[in-house]
Amino acid sequence: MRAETLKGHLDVLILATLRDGPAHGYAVIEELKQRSGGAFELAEGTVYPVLHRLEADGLLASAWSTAAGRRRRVYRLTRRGRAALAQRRGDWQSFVRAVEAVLA
Amino acid sequence: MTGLRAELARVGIRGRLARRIVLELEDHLRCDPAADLGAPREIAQRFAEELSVPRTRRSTYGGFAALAFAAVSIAISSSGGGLDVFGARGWVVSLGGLGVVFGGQVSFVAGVLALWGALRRPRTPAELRLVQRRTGVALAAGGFALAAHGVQTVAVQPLMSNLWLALAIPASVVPALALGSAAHGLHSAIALTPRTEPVARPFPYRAVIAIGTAAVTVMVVGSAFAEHSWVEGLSRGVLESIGFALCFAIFGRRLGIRR
Repeated sequence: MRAETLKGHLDVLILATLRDGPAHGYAVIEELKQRSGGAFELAEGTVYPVLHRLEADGLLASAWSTAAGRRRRVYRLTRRGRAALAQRRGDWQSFVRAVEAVLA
Repeated sequence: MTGLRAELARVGIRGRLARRIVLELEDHLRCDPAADLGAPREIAQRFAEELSVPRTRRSTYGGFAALAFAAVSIAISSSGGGLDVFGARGWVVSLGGLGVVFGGQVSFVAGVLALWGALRRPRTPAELRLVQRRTGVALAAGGFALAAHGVQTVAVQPLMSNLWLALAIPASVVPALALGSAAHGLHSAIALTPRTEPVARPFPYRAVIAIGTAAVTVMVVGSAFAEHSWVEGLSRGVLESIGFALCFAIFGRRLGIRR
């Protein structure tokens, strides 16, 4: 899928990826790829800046963790992030229903 | 990763944040050595674009809070008899008083416009630039009002009680530090935002006239009650309307509210 198509939805996709638990940047990208069946193969360089912005907006929080001697920045959803995810999910479902009704 | 630090510094990302970005991307490359993260300049530009959005909003909120603090400080220390616009205590005091009134009003209008713009969640560089410009004008005008208040304080010092003097000095210095800190935040937000012309959102003339009329009415009625004189109220109202028209002409384009 083209990066431009995804751009407007990247925030909600990243929030949804972190819904099940904390993850580092690489794991977020892999999870997106896996859950979408390979359709969302994003350029790696685009995800990290969005993670930073979502954190600056208070939707994510992050901390260093060490695993197998490697330091990693791990991201998790904040309470505001969960609320934002729920709201955007609702918006998306209404949008999809409306588009389907028009296309049907 | 070699050139990334330099590119991040070029777009205004330095220190701990730059170190963190480099470490994160190095970790990514260890996970997937074949990953294509893009050229250092491209990565740095993407970070700058994404971070300029929350930084601009935060600097606007911080600036508005600093200005509100400055306004409260000036109001409290002036209640001891510091503010004098009409020259009863000499022309220096009068000029200082006019500076406080003029700077305070410009700062208030620019600050409210900046806050309004920030609450509308600007995303594009042109929208961000407009919010930053409004915040800049608000902070500059607030600094001017504060400096004018300082001049007044020095000029009326012999007439002030020790208690009010002790209050007036920190009332100028502490808000000045807050404004300085807000200006620093704004500067870092500006450094991250790609250079572009701010988008203008001209106000309809009817709205400008309505706001001006409301401001003049408040001035007339407020002054008439405070001074127990409708003549005084009307004369201040005339000054207010002249000031409003001049400020709209001088700052309107810079604030993006007129073409």
